[in-house]
Amino acid sequence: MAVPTGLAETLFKQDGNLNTEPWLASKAVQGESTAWEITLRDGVKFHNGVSMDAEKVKGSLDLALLRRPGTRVLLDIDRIEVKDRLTLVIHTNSPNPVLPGLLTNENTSIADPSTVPTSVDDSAEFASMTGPYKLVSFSADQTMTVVAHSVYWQGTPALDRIEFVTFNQSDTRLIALQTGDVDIAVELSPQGAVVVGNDSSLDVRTAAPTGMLFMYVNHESPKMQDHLVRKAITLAVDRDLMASGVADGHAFPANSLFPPGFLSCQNTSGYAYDPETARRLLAEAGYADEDGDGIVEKDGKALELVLQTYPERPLLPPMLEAYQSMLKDIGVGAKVQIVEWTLASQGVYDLFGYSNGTTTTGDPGWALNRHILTGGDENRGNFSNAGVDELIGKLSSASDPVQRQLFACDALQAANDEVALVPVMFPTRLYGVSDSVNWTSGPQAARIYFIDHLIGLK
Amino acid sequence: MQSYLTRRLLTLPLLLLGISIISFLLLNFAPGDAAEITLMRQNGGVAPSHEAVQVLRQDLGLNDALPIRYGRWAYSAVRGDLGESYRTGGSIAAELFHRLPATLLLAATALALAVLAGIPLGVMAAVKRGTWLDSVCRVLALVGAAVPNYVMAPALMLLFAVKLHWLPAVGYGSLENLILPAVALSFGTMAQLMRLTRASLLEVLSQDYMRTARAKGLSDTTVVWRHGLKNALLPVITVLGTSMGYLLSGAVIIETIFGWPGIGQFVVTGISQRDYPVVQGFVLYVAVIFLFVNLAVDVSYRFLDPRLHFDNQPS
Repeated sequence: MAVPTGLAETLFKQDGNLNTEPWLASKAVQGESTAWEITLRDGVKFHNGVSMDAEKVKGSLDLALLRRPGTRVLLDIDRIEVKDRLTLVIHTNSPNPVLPGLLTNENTSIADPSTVPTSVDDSAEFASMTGPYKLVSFSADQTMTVVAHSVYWQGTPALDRIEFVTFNQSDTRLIALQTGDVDIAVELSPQGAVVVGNDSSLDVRTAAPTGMLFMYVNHESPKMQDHLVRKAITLAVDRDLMASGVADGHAFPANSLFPPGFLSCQNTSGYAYDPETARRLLAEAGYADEDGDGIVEKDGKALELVLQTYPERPLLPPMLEAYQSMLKDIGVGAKVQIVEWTLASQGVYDLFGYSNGTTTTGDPGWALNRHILTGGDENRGNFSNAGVDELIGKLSSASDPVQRQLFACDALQAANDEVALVPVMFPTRLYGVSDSVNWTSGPQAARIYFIDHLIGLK
Repeated sequence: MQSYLTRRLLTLPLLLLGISIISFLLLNFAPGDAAEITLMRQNGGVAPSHEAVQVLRQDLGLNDALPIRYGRWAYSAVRGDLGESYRTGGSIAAELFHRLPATLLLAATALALAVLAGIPLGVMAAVKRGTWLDSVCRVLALVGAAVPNYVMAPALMLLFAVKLHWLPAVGYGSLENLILPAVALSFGTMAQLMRLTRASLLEVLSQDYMRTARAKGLSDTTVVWRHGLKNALLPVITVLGTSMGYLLSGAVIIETIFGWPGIGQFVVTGISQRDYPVVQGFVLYVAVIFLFVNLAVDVSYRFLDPRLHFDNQPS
């Protein structure tokens, strides 16, 4: 949480359109296919007053790789070489055209390595970082206090001190905002946003979606083998109703893997709501309601699906209930089960409601590789298609941005045709803000940015 | 008495061993992978690769056989080391110890409120049986038993903090901050004590010796408070004992709702994040509390009712 709370910064960040832009770096050039030369911004000071240079950044990244196995796998870095005071070269194990995008990951935030413990057993919470605020006190799951970093490189922070308080319940966050105990409440529920909207002293601020609510299709389930059935259950989803009803209008319909505007082609390749065609496809697949109970059968077996999801994302359980009713409308029965989210990888379902970011690195290849590619880390429904894999492979090896968009569009279209998964909606992020807060710079498009040096009080 | 106490104290380690084995097995069979969840959190919500999950499973010793993992945990636990949280990396024993005062304060205040309100109201309801006061107390007891504390808590917050602005909704450190969470936590126990005191006292008041006391010319107050209540308290003490255990562990939900900095938030997050060592440490903590409270309750019977004795020899 060091980046959202204004403590830390990364070499690169995502702008308002989720494109990668320099942050602590000032420039990045890919020399060879496995080497990126990165120029650092001059004049940046850590919280302990020490200047940031290439040696410090190399030390910081080396420690991040040492301490976090996930980051080690994500970046796939061979070695980091210091060229001069403000230049370093990052060598990757394989060609990586999107390394700057991966360096927006908050686990690569830069700290003075002399203040970071080398042992993974020791906490790095009091490491000296570069953000507009520095840590004073921290108690896990409770409170955190930060004060202004007076020599911050973008100017003096607007606030002297910020206190972060953890309330796990969204209702408690709402009440704390209503009573004036907090100035900003994050992650409001759609219902909470209605309450805030009705209060003249409070304001609802909405950030563009970065995550998607969708259904994993279990491609190993016998019921999901028929392409016509997969297509039918996709056409059964009334995404406009999901966004306006389940999410109270605080979501966009998801016709494909990426939120609106992320790829130029995505709207042409998306799914529509068409229950008539869905019923026809089921009939073509040999399903008919012979016993008149409203559920179609084939070879005497009713088409009853198991829908699972987890409770941590409040929109998921009602989304599944709505989907259950939409499936019923085309003659497909469904049972809804609320389980652990890790069961999404264990295949005892037909469809699994899930929430995930698809724009995290600002590059479509990242989400396609993880969600769609055979064996991808987030391909929990085990989708596998040689043609789609080939297109994603072409995308991974292309470095030209225009060419990457084209390959991404082709791969996305092919995955949509095969119904790799069922996109449902992109929920917006909701903040409740007191009218005493001056927050012209936010909320930002990417989820990981929240506190910056500009946010202040009127 | 002494041999009874010795016997009870000697069974405690065996009970703790049994409880810890059962909870360890249950946690082990619960779905979810601690390594995957930990990495997901570290990666800011991004799912980790299979390789990274395997590396962390190895690091955390999750690939070892079940008896080895249990033995490792139990050996450390008897030396006072409950291990480290997968999530924060901090010592669990230190974390529980650091947060315990806030939980104890909340639970003790809630218990005091429950006793101070529940027992007198129960006595009044019994003495004024059939009157409007009795009806009010019975309705209150019904509401207390029927409304769970996670409903009561937001209702109190909305009324007293949002609408009336009398009390703060969240926060820690002042008497004002304590009132709403303590009332929310105490409500169920207060209702239970009230109901039990009323029923028990009504039974005692109908006994022959109570009539004798009145016939001797003792005042109603003396009859009820000195003779009646003392005899009616035995079942109340039993409930009080278990209530203390429930309040200390049940404070978890109230703490989460009010953002109270006790063990509650730590444990709830630990459970949802599959932080096995935290959950295991918490189960042990609750088990110890329950065992000692039960022992204290059993011993207190001896003083409240001299007819009861624990040893074989006549007392």
